[in-house]
Amino acid sequence: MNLNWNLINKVADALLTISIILLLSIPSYTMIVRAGQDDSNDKEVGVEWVEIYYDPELGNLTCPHVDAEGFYNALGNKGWTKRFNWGNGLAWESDFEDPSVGGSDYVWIDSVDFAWFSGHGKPWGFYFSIDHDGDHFLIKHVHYTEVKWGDQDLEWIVIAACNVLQWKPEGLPDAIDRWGPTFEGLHVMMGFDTFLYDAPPPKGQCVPAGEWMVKYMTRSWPGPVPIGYAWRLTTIDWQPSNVYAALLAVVDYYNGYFYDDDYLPGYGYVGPDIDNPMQPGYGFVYRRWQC
Amino acid sequence: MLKLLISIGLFTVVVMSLVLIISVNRSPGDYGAEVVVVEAELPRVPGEIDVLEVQSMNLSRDQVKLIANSVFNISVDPIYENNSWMFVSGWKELRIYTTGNNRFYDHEKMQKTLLRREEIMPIDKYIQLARDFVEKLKLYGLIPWKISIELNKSREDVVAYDETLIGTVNGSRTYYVNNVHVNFDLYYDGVRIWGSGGKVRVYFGRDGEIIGFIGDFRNIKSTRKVQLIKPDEAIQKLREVGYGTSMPRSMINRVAIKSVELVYYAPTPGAESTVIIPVYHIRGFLIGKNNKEVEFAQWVPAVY
Repeated sequence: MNLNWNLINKVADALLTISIILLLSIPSYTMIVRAGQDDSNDKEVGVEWVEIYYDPELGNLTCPHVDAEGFYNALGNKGWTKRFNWGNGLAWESDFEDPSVGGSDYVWIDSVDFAWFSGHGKPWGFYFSIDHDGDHFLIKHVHYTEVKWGDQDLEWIVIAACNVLQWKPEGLPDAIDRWGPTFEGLHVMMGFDTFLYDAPPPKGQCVPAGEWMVKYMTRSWPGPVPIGYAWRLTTIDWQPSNVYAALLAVVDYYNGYFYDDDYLPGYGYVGPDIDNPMQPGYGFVYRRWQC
Repeated sequence: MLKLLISIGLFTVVVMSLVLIISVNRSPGDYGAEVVVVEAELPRVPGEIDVLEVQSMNLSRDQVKLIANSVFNISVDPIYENNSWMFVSGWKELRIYTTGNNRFYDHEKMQKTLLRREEIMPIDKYIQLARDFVEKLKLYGLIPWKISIELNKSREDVVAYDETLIGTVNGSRTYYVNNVHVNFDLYYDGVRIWGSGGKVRVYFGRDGEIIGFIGDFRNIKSTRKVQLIKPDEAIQKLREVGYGTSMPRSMINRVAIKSVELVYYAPTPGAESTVIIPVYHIRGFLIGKNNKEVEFAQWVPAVY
């Protein structure tokens, strides 16, 4: 057999080169990055969002990447460390869930100070496009019973999804009883009491709500506003008036401090972490407002 | 030869992996076969309708100072930034945008006010105070004559509360009202202006004090007339765009449409678009195959 070794070598080199290029591109989708797992850096941000809820489950959305990435980049521009930005099939429920249910929140959501999720929600949790559940129970969504936030780092989280902070859904505990036990150092959870609109008319242009929130929290004149109030002003600008937004925050009765009054670090007072806000002397405040 | 075999093997593994990753992000592209039942009277609409464009409001420094002083009791000098006149006095902040969006907040009172139920005045009192306030704004030329402002008492949220509940897990709850606010509707040529940038709202704190105000008084001009989609066509379009809820499409058994309204959608103050187009705002309930109901509210364009 008369083999053309020169040609074979060239083909082999080409295939190797292509393979290496493709291999190098895979980590941008799948690589697990070790995040800062402590509070030594109090300015870390991570976002996850889902737009493509492929068959057979949820309807697709248009704007979550704009909300979440706007927030991510705007905080990055203010000097925050951008830890992760996972979208669609790379946003995983296990990133939000406690290790006791097979989750890895300590690597992701609970390794940053401020987190944002955009996608579909229900009063009991929020939804993902793929099944990536550590214990294969309550799959494709983060259920409130699977969560303990702040035991490592997380202080503030926005869940920009329908109904997650609905006050009293039929057949479920109210928002304080539902989400309160998930606070193990978390200061504030922000979201919506009702549904919200995804892409506004006329052509479905998305608005950078996350970026607006950062502007409210960091503006130099007339001055920054507290995190909870920034969420309120943002949602009023963002959504029509038939939408109601909400937040749940820790209350320190000893010091008369409501944790939605926290400012972004570097812009004002931030309350100390409360590991167990269910102990005497602490409680929760739930606020709900018309957008 | 070995090198070639290794290369082919590696190449195949990498390509298969990528195909797997990409397949995870595939979209379904089709829509359901649910039964749609219209349980609302469809609106009678004209054949054509105006498309509107937001014009800049030419308010001088003196004009806005007069409004700030006379209506909002703020007497400081304004700063012009980001297309708006901005007044800051203590906790009070007033922004008058050239796009016609106006925002006034007494930030401290908006954040901190907690009213007990017994401190809330009769609803009609708030309505009257809000009406008087809007009339005052008209006097000072802040409201363009092409739009009308109406207080629709049949609207369920004409007077609404922002609420605060304080409590412990599995413990008691204490209820407070953060503010009472009155919502007005805006109309252009009989069609309601709706959307994140189509609000008129007066917020009240303790003893009827005005602590906030949103007034999206756009200076609008008709740019052209366009053919309007009929409401039944809009319902068909709704099936295509979907209902925007988290109920799986495959789980929807029936769609009960409770209201179909032709409105102008006013984009949010910070939006790039200055065009206000007519849309159908459709609300109703999705009834799942498990008989669970989910409320939906969706818009579809009313023009081709």
